[in-house]
Amino acid sequence: MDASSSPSSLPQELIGSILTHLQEDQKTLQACSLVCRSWINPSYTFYFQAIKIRQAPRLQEFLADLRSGPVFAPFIRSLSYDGCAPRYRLDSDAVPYDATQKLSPHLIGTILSSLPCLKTIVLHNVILTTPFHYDLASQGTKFALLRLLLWDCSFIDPLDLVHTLQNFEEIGKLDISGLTSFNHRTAMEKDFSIDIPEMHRTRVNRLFFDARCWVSGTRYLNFASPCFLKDQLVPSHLRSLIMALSDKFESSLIEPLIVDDLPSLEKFGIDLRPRQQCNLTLDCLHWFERLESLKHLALKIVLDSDALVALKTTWSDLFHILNKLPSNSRTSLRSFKITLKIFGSDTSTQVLVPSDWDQLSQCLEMFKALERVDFVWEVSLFEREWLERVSPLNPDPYTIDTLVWVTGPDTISNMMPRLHSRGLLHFSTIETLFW
Amino acid sequence: MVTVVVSDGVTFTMEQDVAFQCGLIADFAGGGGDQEEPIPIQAVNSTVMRKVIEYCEHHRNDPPQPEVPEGTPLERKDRRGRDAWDKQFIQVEQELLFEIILAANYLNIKPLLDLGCSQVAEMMKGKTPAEIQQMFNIVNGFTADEEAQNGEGEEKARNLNS
Repeated sequence: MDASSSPSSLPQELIGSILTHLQEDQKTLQACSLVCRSWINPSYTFYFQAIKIRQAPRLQEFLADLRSGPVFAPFIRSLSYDGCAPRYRLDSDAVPYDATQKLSPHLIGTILSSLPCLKTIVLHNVILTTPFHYDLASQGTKFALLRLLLWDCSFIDPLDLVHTLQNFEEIGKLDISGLTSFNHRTAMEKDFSIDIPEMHRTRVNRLFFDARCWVSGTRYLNFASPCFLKDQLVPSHLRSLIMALSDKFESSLIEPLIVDDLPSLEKFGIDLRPRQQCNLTLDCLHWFERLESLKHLALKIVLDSDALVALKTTWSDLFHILNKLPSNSRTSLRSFKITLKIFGSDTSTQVLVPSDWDQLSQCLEMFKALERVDFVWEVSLFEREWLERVSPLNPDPYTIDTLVWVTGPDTISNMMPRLHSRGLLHFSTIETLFW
Repeated sequence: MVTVVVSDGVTFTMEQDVAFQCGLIADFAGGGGDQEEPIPIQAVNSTVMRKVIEYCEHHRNDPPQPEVPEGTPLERKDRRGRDAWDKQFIQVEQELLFEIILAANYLNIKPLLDLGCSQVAEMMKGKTPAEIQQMFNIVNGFTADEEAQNGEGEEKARNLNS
């Protein structure tokens, strides 16, 4: 074999292309890094791209390594740390607390400044110690994180979350989810150094909410779906959080917690998340009556396969919402966007039929100033087999697979001819395939 | 029709939908009609070009592959997968395999490049560094210091990814 027929003759980019196919095979990647000098960097690129650390002792070892400027540091693009916290017990008021789970801003600063190519940080089961208004930017490092994911993390106070976010203004995507908790308790009093009004201190005793928060480079914020324990919610905290964030974004789609501001809101959005066999309880339905200046309305229906049966009910809720809007909005509403996000693999469920679309079409006819109607389908499927079974020629025209594969812009247009004839309809499909 | 002339002077004439799977040829032809002048492909010889054309003819009716964002896990990228024909097609001598990879890269045929690279990756799976070196006739060229560093790096790597 001559030199031109060996991988060592290939340019570096092609070595990288070959090793791309081994990115799940750590053992072979490690072997490749020891083959020859020119293979070290492309091998490390994949071998070290995603580091997962569990528990505090391993984190300490990792941090010690970072101080010595290790060769692998420039290759780490994603770092996950799972503090493996003892889980909250919903049947108990006791807040589990373990000092070893704490992650201070200083440590995060060390990590960020030592890993120049870090794009994603995932923190799971971590207590982000107060205060987190540590000025990371003052360390002289520009943090161009693409993603910050906080799962089941604890904050002492909602303001800590605000301060955390302020440290990552340039972040591409922020996802706060899981059982995010805000705890205030005497044992952690020493951790406070920011000036929290006494009122807040006394009212935040134990507060949970499932929060999802996305901040994208498009200056779009969606703070949605808080399934909070209502009695423990302190609206002023969330209000301050939302207000702090809203300043930075041109468009805010906010769960209607800021009730006082509803009459002046021009943009409003809400996620509708029905549970299995369960109506969406629109406790906030009356809020829609107060949207007097509304120009842009966005509704998102999020369904997993278990909840698909509730789609019909949710669809009815949507009509309720449209009917609840005050008469002022009949002439003020300019755009309406509906997103249907479906997870799962249930192919048997009946979904929307033409009469549903007729009804929606009639509802939208009420809004005389409407200039644009957007329909977005986001479909996430989990099983390749399921996908392969699905055919555009499926004889049942109204099963979920039909929605995915057959219903397209033309079909929607046919179902809503009047809106279509007015040139209002816009349609997009996002298929996200997981397996 | 599109005509190309390769490094050893052989001329190939292809239908446009076959030829335009090569990004380079599509760019060269500017997406227009029939080319009168043969397009010179100096970096590819006739043996390799025959294989390339065989691949493009087989896949001429494939739907265009969607753009996949950088960083997408491999198993989500490979939506079409390697079918039986592809697997058979890429079972070639090592020398030809690397020439196909180079040609696919030069001609800008992403699916063929992926196919070739995944075949090389398959050949390396589970092998030790020495076995890979032997299989591909690679001299490692590490100095003694580097060998020692490799040992340390290996240790760290094992710890980090264990």
